[in-house]
Amino acid sequence: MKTSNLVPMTCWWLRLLSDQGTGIRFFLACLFLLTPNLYLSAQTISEESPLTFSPVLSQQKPQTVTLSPSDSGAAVFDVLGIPNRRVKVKVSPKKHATLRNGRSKAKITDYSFGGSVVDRGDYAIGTLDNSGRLNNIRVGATLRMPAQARSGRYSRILILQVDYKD
Amino acid sequence: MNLLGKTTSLFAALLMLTGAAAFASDEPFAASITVYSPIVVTETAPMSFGLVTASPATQVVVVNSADAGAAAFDIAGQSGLAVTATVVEPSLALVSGGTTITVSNFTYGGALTGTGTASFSNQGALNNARVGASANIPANPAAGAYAGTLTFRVVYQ
Repeated sequence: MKTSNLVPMTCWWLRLLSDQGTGIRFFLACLFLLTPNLYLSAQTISEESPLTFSPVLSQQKPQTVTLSPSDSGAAVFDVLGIPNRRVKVKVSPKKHATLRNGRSKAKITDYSFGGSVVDRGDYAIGTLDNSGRLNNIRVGATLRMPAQARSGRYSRILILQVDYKD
Repeated sequence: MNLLGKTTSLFAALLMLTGAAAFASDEPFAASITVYSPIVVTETAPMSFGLVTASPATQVVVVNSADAGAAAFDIAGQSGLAVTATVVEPSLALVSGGTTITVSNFTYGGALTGTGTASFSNQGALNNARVGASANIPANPAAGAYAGTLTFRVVYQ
């Protein structure tokens, strides 16, 4: 059940248990609470493609693999929310996310952003358009492969977080 | 503050917290990379054109990929993956005593297709990749041993 639906139900229930004056205060408080919940609705994020590094060969020395946001393997997302609002985009875990292949590991050391958002280092900033859309948010990353990495597929789930900026 | 007032405050706090959480959205997504085993090539036989008798006319000595004189290699790599093998140099000049013999027109066979492609087995093996070539010998060549080095390259497709 969404919070916006919960508020009026809570009001109704409490008002039954209260005297008239308290009931009015509840009502006003619930209106206050209801307003931001309606206004600041959550965004809808659609994943268009996952983050997929190009295959690499196992090497004798550690290697750094960089996937640019403009590369075809970058993760791509579309966001739908409140028109013309600015949003802050980031990826969690922030750093040192570990991709695993059995007991073997490879660490993501950095993320980069592009497409419709501006990279600000650890996060990115974008603005929803007049229809509330912000398409083609692109996320790249830098990966540190250990020496003599075991062959196979290294993977994990990351989380894209989108917040209204203002 | 009576009990109802305290309850009000509690609900208000809870709802405000819940409302604040609605500001943000999360979307899980996958990150992945595939690491391939390095390709290891082992030469099991060099390319050898054998003994040729000098002639007043030019000669072309052909070693087919199936012949005993063909170069042969065992290759190890990522199971199931396809590779392309080539001789890097388009030709090789073998020089001795003022005579140059040119080796060219490389051909592929054994575990390789005629265009040099193949796939590793489930065990990551690709044995008996073979390379043939032609040696163009000028008229009246100087007697002697002619030798040189070619590069056999194998890459994942």
